[in-house]
Parts: sequence; structure tokens; C-alpha cells
Amino acid sequence: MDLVFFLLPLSLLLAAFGVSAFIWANRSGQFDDLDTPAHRLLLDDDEQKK
Amino acid sequence: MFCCPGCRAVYELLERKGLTHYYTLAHRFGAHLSPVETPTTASVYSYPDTRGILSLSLGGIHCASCVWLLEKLPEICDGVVSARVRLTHGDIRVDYNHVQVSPTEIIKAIQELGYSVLPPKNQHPSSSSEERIARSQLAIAAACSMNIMMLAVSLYQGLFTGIEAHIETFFRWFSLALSIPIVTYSALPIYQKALGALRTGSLHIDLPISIGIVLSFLLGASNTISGSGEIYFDSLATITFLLLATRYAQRRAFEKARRSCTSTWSLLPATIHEISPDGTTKEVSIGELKPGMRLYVKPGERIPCDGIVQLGCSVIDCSTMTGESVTTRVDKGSAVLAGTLNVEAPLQVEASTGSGNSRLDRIIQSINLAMPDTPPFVTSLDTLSMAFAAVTLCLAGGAFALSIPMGMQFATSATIAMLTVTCPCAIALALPLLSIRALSMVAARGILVKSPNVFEELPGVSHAFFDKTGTLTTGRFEIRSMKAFVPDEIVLDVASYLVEIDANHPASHAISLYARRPLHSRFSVLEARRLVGRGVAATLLDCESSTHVSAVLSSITHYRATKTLNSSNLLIPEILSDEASVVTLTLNGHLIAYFELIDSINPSVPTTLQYLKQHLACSILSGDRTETTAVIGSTIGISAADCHGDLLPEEKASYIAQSPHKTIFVGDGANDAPALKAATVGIALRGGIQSILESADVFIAMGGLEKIVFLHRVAARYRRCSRLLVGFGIVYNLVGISAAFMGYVSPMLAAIAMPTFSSFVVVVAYNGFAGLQETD
Repeated sequence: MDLVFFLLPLSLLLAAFGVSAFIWANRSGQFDDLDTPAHRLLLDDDEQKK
Repeated sequence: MFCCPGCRAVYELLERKGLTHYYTLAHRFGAHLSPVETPTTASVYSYPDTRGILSLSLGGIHCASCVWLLEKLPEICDGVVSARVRLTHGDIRVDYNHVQVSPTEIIKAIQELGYSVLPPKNQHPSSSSEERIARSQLAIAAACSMNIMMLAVSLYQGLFTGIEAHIETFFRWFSLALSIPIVTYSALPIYQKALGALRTGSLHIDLPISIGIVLSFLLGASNTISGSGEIYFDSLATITFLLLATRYAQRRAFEKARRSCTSTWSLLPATIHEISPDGTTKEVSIGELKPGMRLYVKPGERIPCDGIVQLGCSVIDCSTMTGESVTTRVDKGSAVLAGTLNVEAPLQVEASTGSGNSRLDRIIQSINLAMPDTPPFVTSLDTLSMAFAAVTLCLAGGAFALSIPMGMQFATSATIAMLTVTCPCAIALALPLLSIRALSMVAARGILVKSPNVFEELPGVSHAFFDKTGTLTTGRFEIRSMKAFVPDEIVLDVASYLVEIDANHPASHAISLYARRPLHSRFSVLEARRLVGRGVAATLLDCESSTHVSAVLSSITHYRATKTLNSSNLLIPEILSDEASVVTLTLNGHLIAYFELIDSINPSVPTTLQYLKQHLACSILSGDRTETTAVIGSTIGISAADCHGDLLPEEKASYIAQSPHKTIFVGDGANDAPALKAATVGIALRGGIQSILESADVFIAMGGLEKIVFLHRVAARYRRCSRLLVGFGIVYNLVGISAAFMGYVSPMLAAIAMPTFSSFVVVVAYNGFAGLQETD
């Protein structure tokens, strides 16, 4: 049962990883506009990136 | 090959830069070259190094091709590092190197692509950085509360099956650690609202919630340290998380609804041309407009302010304001309104209103009345939720005082339960959301509603009155016959002047097709005026006898009214058929001719009336002859007893005012203003958006009579939903408060019940109009 003392902080670490990933994505503006990327996706196919 | 020189220029520009690919994407519309100006209305940030950021609101962004084209800006304009378009916001953010390129050049490049640069939209309370913070707070609250709940479930389980003491202590300390980010970071907006309200001397519903959160955290922490008693971390975590989640969802819904409500209103230009005292003109932002400023308005531009023409003579198109499609001539001293279009020649206008104060701005403000940050409607809800907060605080205090004899622990627990179980969400969150959903739904279909009260009133209406001409009928008259008592040439000569006075009126229009002015007219106009709702009158100079004659072209109702007034015994026309409307022409009070006009029924009338008759009684109030009104009534299924003809505009109004029931009147915004005002809900079909400010509650900007069906449906649904929500709120709070008062509600239960209920009402409000289609 004492395993829980190891597992619980571990699960929290994983959660912290997820949350920090979300906060990074949020800070870099990935959630600011949820509509335009769907359109953008359709267009860049035959364009070569510079 | 090109629709205009503009498209050719754009093509050449694109070809030069090797971007002709645009045309394979955007063959559906042409880009137009607008005159290159240098707006001062962008927001520009420059950093000390070479970076610069330019944010612009653009007009004309429709589809993915626009995004593609605009984001190719770095290839078109040297020095631009990147461009990002937000399609739904209609704006662009350009990162550039301000050593290589200036904002003006970038704006020029964008304009050359065919997009107009608009004045920046009002900064919404949720600018993107604020929204990012809200999202972070929500994410942390979510992660922490889920983990706390996981621990809490184990702990509750442990109550029944037993749990090792050292594991229990570990779990409790762990929960304490997890709740710290929630209390110190995620819940900040809740505290801020509560404190902000306290500072202004008022109460907010967040105050009891804040007290609840802080109190339960402190008690939980002290119990964790002492190692005995309840910890409240699970309740405070869930309550914070669900409250934040609900508010975030509500804010997004508001934003979306607001965008669809306001996007149609950018009639005013972004920049104006100010004339300084020395005579030079300079371009300034419309935000700097002040009363007394002299402005230069080019032909083809909209006049930016209400004002007086100081110099110049031109023709302006007021159709957006008054609904008149006929242009008006203006010269020195004429008053002009903001939003009207200068058609012919340059004008110098002295502004009489500042920025944001013109009649047009006021109309738009009155339409946007129910937006979240605009007062009247929302404040009445605020008072309600303030009272709610006060009651909650009193009850919590009472619960605490009463249960002290049963032990400090029990008293605090009861207080916390009381604070967390009460919920004003039905009132504070769900109702504003419901009204904004309703407003944006009808606005998207071209129905402008002055205030959400219309939705509240409309289902209770039991009597509908309709104007006839142009409302039930198409208003496209045809002349069936003309009876003249003097030679035809004279009649047509006189009539040709009179129909010009109000050429937009359906009857005038029909007669104008018929009345031809001879090459050498016998008359000339000295003075002309409109008898609103009755006809037109003019004083003419008879060139043969050099005398003044007064000519009146009016409905027969008006003719008869003046007849009894003057009691002169002149011809009253014998009407041949009942279905024809009759217009009379008098010269110096003598009837010289009358016209019989035939009108056809509006095609959307049968279905509209079929629907409306299920809910209310329908009547016709018309200025036309009673016989004609009855004929129209019988064709569309309104009994002759409900068809009232021969009414002057004021008589219509008094007729409506006499009705003991709630009424709606549907008619023309310009000619039936008194009747529109008299009715509980006045619906204007024509007459420009000005009518909504003056008389009507609803203005149907696109489409016709059939829109009333949709409006009525939305209103019925609105009323049902709002009743349901308030009912839920009352029942929930009564049950919750009495249970908490008697100590039956554990903090755990309260923490689940309140947020569940608030998400429930918000979901109900958001989906209140689901499945409602125009064509049902």
C-alpha cells in the first residue's frame, strides 16, 4: 500500500506536464482563433514553404 | 476580361509578384481597388529594435481565399515578416520590420488587394490576453479539482471500509497542496468581482461565494493540520472550476452573438477630412470628430456626422436612414445626417455632433441595448442578483448564529453549505444569455429589435393590426381608370408636378407612369409639401392666367374629410368598383379628377396570416376606402367587421389605443408613426432604420411580412424558456436553502449541486432556440 506514496506524486507530475503543455499552447496563442486554421488547412497544399 | 480597372490593377500587381494563382482560388468575386488613403486608425506598436506590429480591422474578408491572399503579404510587400488573419473577427495582425517598411505602405498594399481598412472595433472586455489568462485559470482549476476529487473519493470510501491513518493524513495534506493554486490563482476573478462591487458600495453574488471559498479553505487547512474534522477542499475546488467553466462558456457565447449583431453596422467612414481655419484639409480619425469641426466630404463618401452644409450644393442619398430611395438635394444651410451618402459634388459640412453621438450612432446603440456591458436591461438583473447576494449573506449569518449551540464545527459547516448551495445563475447567467441569443438570431435574419422586452411582450399580444397598402398588398399600384372633369392635359400636367413631391409613395409612382408633362407646361411649382399619410399638396403658378392655384393629390378619405370641413357641395365621385383604391386630384378645392388604382396582395400574406390567426385576432386599419379594405380583407380571410377603412393616421393610432388588449401594429415606419407608437409592439416594414428610434420597436430590414412569423416563434420560445429558468431558479434555491438551513446539506453535496445547476441553466439557455428554423 505504501506504493501510493510514490504513485500519487507521479500522477501529479504527469498532470503538471499536461497543464504546462496547455499553458504553453495558450500563451503562444493557439486558442485565440479556432476558426481560421480550418480554412487555412485547405489552401496550402500545392504551395511550397519558403 | 476584367470587370473594372481595379481588377486589372490587382491582376497586374499579382502577376508581378507571381501570385496569379489567386484567380484559380477566387474566381467567384473580383477584388476592387479602393482609393488609397492613409488611415490613422490602425493600432501600431513599435519596439526599440526593428520589430513592429500593426493590427487592422478589414472590410471584405469573406472566405478562405481572402485569408490566403492576405497572408501572402510578406511576398507582396518587402519588410513584412508575417501576416495573420482572423476570419471570424475580420482583422489582421502584421509583423513587420519598421526600418524597411512603414505602416502606411502596408495599409496601401492591403488596400491595393481590394480590402477596406475599417475603424478599429471597440476593444471588447475580453481582449485576447485577458482571455488567455482566463483559460489558464480554468485549466489549473480543472486539473487540480479533478485530482482533489480523486483523493476525496478515496477518503469518503475510507470512511466506510476503513483507511490506514498515515495514508489518510497523506491524502489530506496532498489535497491541501492541490487546492492552494485554486484558491490563490484560479479563483482570483471571483474575488476581484466581489471586491470591485464592494468598493462601489454594492453587493455581488460573488461575495458570498468568495467568502465561502476562503472560509472553507481556512477551516479545511486548520483541520488538516490538527488532523481531525472535515476538509472542504473538494467542495471549493469543484465550485471554483464549474463556476469558471460556466462563465467562460457564457462569455464566448456573448462574444459570438455580439459579433453577429454588430457586424452589419459599419456605415461610417474610418477617417474624415478636417478643414483647418487656414483652409488646408487634413485627414484625421473619426474618433477625433468634435462638434463645430468643418469637414470636407467628397462625392461617393458617407457623411460622418450630423451637421449643417456650409458650402457646396449636392445630392445626398438618405435611403439607409429614412427608407426613401429618392435622393435629396442639399445646399448651404441644409441639415444632413451621419451615414447618408453624398452622391454628386463635394460638400463642406460643419459637424453638430461629436464622434459616437450622431443619430445613427444612437440608433445603433439603442439596438445594441442588451449587450452585456450596456446598462438598462442588465442592471435590472443586477439589482436582482444583488438582492440575492444580500439574502444569502443574511441567511448564512443566521444559520451560523442559530447553530452555534450545536458546536462550532457544525455551525461553520452549515454556513459554508448555505453560502455554496444558493445559486443566482438562472437570473445572472442564463437570462442575459437567452436574450442575447434571441437578439442575434433575429438580427441574422434582418429583423432589428429595439430591446428584449419585445420578446417578453409579443407572445402576450392578442390583437394584430395591419396597414393595408404596402404591408398586406405589394404596393405596386396600376391605374385602372382615370375620370377627369376638366381636359385630360391639364389633369396630367398638374399631376406630373404633384407626383414628384413624394415619388417614393406607391400611388405617386403609379400615377407618375401615367402622367406625362407636355413640352410646354402651363404650370410651374412655387411651393410643395407632403401631407404625411394623406397625400401631397403644392402651390402652382398658372402661367396662362398668372394666378396661384393650390393643387392637392390625396386619398379619397382625406378628400372627404376636407369636404365635410368646408361643406362646399362638390362632386363626390361615384365609385365603380369596390376593389379599387381611389386617389383624388383637386385644384383650389375643386375635384378635377380621380384615379382608380388596383393593387395586388403580397404573396407572403396567406401563410403569415394563417400562422398568426392561430395565436391572435387580425384586423386591417387602412387609410383607403372601407369598400376596398373589405375586398382585400375577404381575399385574405379577414372578415369585413375587422376591416376598417377611411382612417387617417391619427385615427389608426386612437383605434389601437382603445384596444383593451396588448396589440401589435404592422406598417410603414414613415407614414404610420403614431400607430406604431400606440401599439404594444410596433413593427415597421419600411421607412429606414430611423423608424426604430422614433416609433417602432421592431424594424424588418430585409424581407417582408413573413419575418413576423419567425419573430413570433422566437418570442414564444423566449418567453417559455425565461419562465422555465426563473421557475427552476426559485424551486432550486427554496429547496437548497431550506435543506441547508436544517443542516441536511453537507459541503460536498452543496459543491456538486450548485455548479451542476448553473451549468444546467446555462445549457438550457444556450439551447433555448435550438432547431428553430425560419421555414418551419
